[in-house]
Amino acid sequence: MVKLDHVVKVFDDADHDQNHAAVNDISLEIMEGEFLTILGPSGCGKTTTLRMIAGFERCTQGYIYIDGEDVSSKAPYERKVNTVFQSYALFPHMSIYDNIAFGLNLKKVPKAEVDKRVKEMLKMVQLEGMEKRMPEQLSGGQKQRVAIARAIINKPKVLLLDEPLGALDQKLRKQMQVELKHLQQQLGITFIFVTHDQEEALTMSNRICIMNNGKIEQVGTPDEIYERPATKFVADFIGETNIFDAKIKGYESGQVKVTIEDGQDVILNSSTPIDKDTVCFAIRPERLKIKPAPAARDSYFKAKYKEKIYIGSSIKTIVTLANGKPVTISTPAGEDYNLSDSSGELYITWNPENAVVIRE
Amino acid sequence: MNTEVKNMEPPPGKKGKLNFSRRLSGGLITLAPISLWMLAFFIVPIIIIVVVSFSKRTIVGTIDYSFTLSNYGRAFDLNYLKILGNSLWISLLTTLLCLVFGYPFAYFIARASKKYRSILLMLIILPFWTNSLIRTYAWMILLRTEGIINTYLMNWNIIKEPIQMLYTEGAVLVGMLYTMFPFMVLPLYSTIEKLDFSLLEAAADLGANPRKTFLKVTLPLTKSGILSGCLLVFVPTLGLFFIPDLMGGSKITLISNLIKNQFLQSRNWPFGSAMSIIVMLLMFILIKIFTRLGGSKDKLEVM
Amino acid sequence: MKKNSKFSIVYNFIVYLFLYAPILILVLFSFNESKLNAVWTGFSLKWYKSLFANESILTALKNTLIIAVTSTILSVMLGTVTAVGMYRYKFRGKGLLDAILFIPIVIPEIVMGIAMLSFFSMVQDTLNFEMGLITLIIAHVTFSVSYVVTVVRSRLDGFDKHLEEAAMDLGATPLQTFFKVTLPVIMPGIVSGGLLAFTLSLDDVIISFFVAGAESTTLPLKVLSMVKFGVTPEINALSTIMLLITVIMVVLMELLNKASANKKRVLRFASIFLVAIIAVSSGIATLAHIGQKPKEELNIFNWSEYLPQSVIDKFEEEYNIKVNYSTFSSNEEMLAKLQAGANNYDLVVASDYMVETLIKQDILQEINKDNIPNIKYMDPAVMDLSFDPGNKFSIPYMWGDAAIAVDTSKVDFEITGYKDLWNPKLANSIVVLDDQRAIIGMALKKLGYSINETDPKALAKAEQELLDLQKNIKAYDSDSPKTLLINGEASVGFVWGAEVSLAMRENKNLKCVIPEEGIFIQQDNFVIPKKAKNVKGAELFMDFIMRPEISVEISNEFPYANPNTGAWEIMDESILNDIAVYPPTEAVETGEHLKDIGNNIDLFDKIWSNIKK
Repeated sequence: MVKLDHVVKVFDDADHDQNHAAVNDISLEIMEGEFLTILGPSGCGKTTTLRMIAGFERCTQGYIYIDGEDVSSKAPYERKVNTVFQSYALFPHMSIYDNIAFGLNLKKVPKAEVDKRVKEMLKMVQLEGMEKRMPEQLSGGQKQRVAIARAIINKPKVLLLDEPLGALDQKLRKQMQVELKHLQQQLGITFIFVTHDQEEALTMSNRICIMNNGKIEQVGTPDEIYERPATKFVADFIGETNIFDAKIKGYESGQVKVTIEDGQDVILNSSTPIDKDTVCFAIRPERLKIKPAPAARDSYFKAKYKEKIYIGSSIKTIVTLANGKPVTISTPAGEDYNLSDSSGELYITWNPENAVVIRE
Repeated sequence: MNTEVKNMEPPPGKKGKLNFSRRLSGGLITLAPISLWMLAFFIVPIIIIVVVSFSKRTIVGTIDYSFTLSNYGRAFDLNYLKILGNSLWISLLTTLLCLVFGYPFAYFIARASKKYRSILLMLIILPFWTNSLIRTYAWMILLRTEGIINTYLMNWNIIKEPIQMLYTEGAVLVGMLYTMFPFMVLPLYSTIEKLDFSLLEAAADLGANPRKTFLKVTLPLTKSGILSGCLLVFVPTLGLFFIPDLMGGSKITLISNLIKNQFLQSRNWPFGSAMSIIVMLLMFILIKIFTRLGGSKDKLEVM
Repeated sequence: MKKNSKFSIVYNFIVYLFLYAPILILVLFSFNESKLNAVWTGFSLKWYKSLFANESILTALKNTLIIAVTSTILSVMLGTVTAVGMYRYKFRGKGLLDAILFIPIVIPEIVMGIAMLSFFSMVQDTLNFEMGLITLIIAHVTFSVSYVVTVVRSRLDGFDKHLEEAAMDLGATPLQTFFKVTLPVIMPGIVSGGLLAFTLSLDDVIISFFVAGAESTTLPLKVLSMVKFGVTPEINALSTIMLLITVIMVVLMELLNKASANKKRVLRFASIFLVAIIAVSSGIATLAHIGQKPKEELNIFNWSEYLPQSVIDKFEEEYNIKVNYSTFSSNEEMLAKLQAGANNYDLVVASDYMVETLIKQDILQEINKDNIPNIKYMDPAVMDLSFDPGNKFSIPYMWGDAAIAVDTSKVDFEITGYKDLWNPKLANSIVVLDDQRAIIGMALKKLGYSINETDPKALAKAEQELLDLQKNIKAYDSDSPKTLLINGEASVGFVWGAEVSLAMRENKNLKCVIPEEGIFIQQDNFVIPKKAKNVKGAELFMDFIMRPEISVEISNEFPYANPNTGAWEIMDESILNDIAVYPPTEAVETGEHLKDIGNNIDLFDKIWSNIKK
């Protein structure tokens, strides 16, 4: 449905560094009916990318296709996409009704039909009866819904959402995440969602595209992103993880022996051959276990107890390697290891399948 | 991390050029009219008076366009310098008085409860919107020798002889103060209103008494309002010729009267222009000082 | 918010009192029965009635409204477009435009006024237009557009950029976006800007003073000339009405700002409706008073207080010609205005030496005396004088002298000449003409020189004398010095004879003294500028003035010396015997006329500024 082909954006005004590309050669394909989230830290270029799809920014290089059509030189009002803004951007001088009907009125849709569709929308976003109110009278969550209604009433091919939940409080956010997801499934419109909140991305998306410094780090399903991060950045950005830089020691029947930072040897599984003499791998805290002694199939190393942090739904235990590098182990509440400083040498073990080799 | 931008040919469709020319034409359409207008009706007239200020005056009083510096030389004559000095002094005095009386006034309005504030503000704005001549005239009927104040004071036997109030330098000062007062209060109010009062509480919490708090916290933070107000009062007073005319009985000549006379009575446009240019230059210097001291043009929005 | 202390409440109350007391008193006294704004004598609406009958005020009001509305519309359109452009586009030179727009806000208005005057007078000949409504509108737009830009820009600063993007996203073209989203949202700013521009235009005195023409007096300028005479409370009535309109406008503005959406629409209608009513009613009022649309107009430029309104009214009615009457306070001011290009006057009054100057400068056209049959009434003694042999360019009007008025109830010693003015007992009690030739001339005469002396040494002595005299002078006033003599501000005056005579009518303690050192006499004459449009009307007017009965009417109100022999026969004896009006023959014979002194005027200028600082 939406295709970005080697898109580059360099800002050429006085406020920006002209040697630095905000979006640096990205290519991406978004499928019809998909909920894709562009995720990344501030300044990674995700909002710029979204704005280029919407038409508010022109690509410096590259092309953008929507539904097969090259829209690269088209103005926003010529594209069949609609945007939901972070600040909602509701027209303060118009009622809710007029806000929502704005796009239809521009197309000179007959009044009766406008009326019907607006009422439908209000029902869909659960704001029935609010037609005559003015934006200033609404709460954040309500404004959000009006913004969504205003956009989707136009039956766009693609809906772009620019961190729409950023201004809401925690509880409302979670609620809206679910609602948005349901809405998308109900309508079947392609959603392109931008956020810096990884939990949000993981919850709502069919696929996630992670960006950093103007480039795409990885595109994949939440599961792929989480379990098999392709790069150090992704591994670090999504969830918590333990990253090890190790040196190759030798190969042995599909397994690799590596030496980690403190000199210990560890067994890694690797399906693809590693063509360097160093390797970087990551293990999620919840995949690690602390045992008095390793089981046969486990990979393991030894460490010392440092401290314990109580999260509520889980408990984090932090141990240290001989060189001081901390490693985090996470366990569900109720399964506390009950360790202390005097616990002596511990074995940190994991199933070899759960370690992921990552590109740097 | 790869930051180099690949050198690809810009794709067909003239993306970059389209953007630029669209911007250019939009900019032209919106800004050409004002530029032309200001050029024709503002810049050119000012250039004309600059030219005239370097010209000579013919015997009959018209302009002889030969170059001379004599007008500026004449401006430095002691007499005229005295007039200029006097005008600057009165303007300065007016400004200071407006500031001294206006600051507490603005402060108290800003501190008033929201209910009353808009009414209080409106009461300040009203005189601001009223015709300044009328307001001056109002003072004239009050201050005249057989005006209202004197008449009632005499009727009530408080004084035997009428007090001379009108036609003095004091009357001119009162007239200026009265006319310019709202121009000082409004910028002051707008800055004081934006003041975060929790800062004052913080100062008190840290041990500052009200006087110290005022000097070290309030005053510096309202600096831009003070500067705006001073500028908005000082400069116009230099040009208000009708107040010395009416309140001062034409006895007191300020720079504004001098310039006006050059264009009417004395028919010496070159000299009048020279004096105007000097006043303009003074004003530019003042603005420079103003921005140096920390005011900014945006803060001049009194509205 | 901490509550304000009692002290602060009292302080603010006093300040408000200071701000409002004068205005309130002004309003109060507009209902006062008495003519003098001094003591309350009773309630009356008569000043309002006479206000509405005063045509010149209504004309000025009409002009002011036309100018204000037009210049507001223009500045708002120009200013809004500019503000949007500056907000949207970045470009080199923006800072320059910024600075240029900033200057009109901070420049002293007088500088702008004279700049525009210079500009218009230069362009006038090439482009062939006149100073008038158009020049005023242009000037007003120029100084108010900066304010509009500032106000709208500050409104735009807080404008959410995403609103425009949202509109475009939803399918609106840039133009549609502007009209449907941008404009409505910044509308309060535009309205504020417009109101500000409107007020600035209504209120403007200084700039209008320089660029107004013969036919286009504005209300503030009219008030300025009325204030100088300061006698009738008609001004109070006018002021009260203007205040009322301002109050309504400001209140409406405030309500508009605070009202909720629906009420806003109602209020907007209400205010537009109100403005429309004001515009329409003032239009109707003016039209009603003007009656039939007159076929032609006549522009007259004369000294202030020299021709009664009743005479003008009679002329207008008889000939169905509308008279636009403008005044000046000195010959030099008149000459300056003519030279500046206010040359659409048809008939001007100029004094003897000034006629000489005007002829030399080729400003006048010859007058066809055949078209003015009533010239037969002119006293031969005033015809064919040295400044205009054969009366080719001028027709005599009135003449007079400057004499000394003395309030005998306040002055206990005898005054016989100029020298007595220096008497220390007269500290701060004298009103004198605001006329440099007359005053410096007077000092020269005291020293025994001629009034036209140009020797620098003599002038230096005169300057010293005048510096000494300053402490006795209370005020300089050429417009209506009799006011100070009548109301007791001054106990002695060196003023025009007619002013003395008029003052004597109201204040019986006054008497007239013909200075023994010798008087200076001024012969005033009608002249017609070359560029006059309505020469026929001018001739009709002059002829009309010289009808004996009309001439008498003029003399009754402004008792200058009247050379109309026909008038002498019907005039009141007491006036003919009044030495303030008709100085004794010996005095006339030894009296001097002013002469043009060419470049020496500079010396006089210098002395004058030195004295007055």
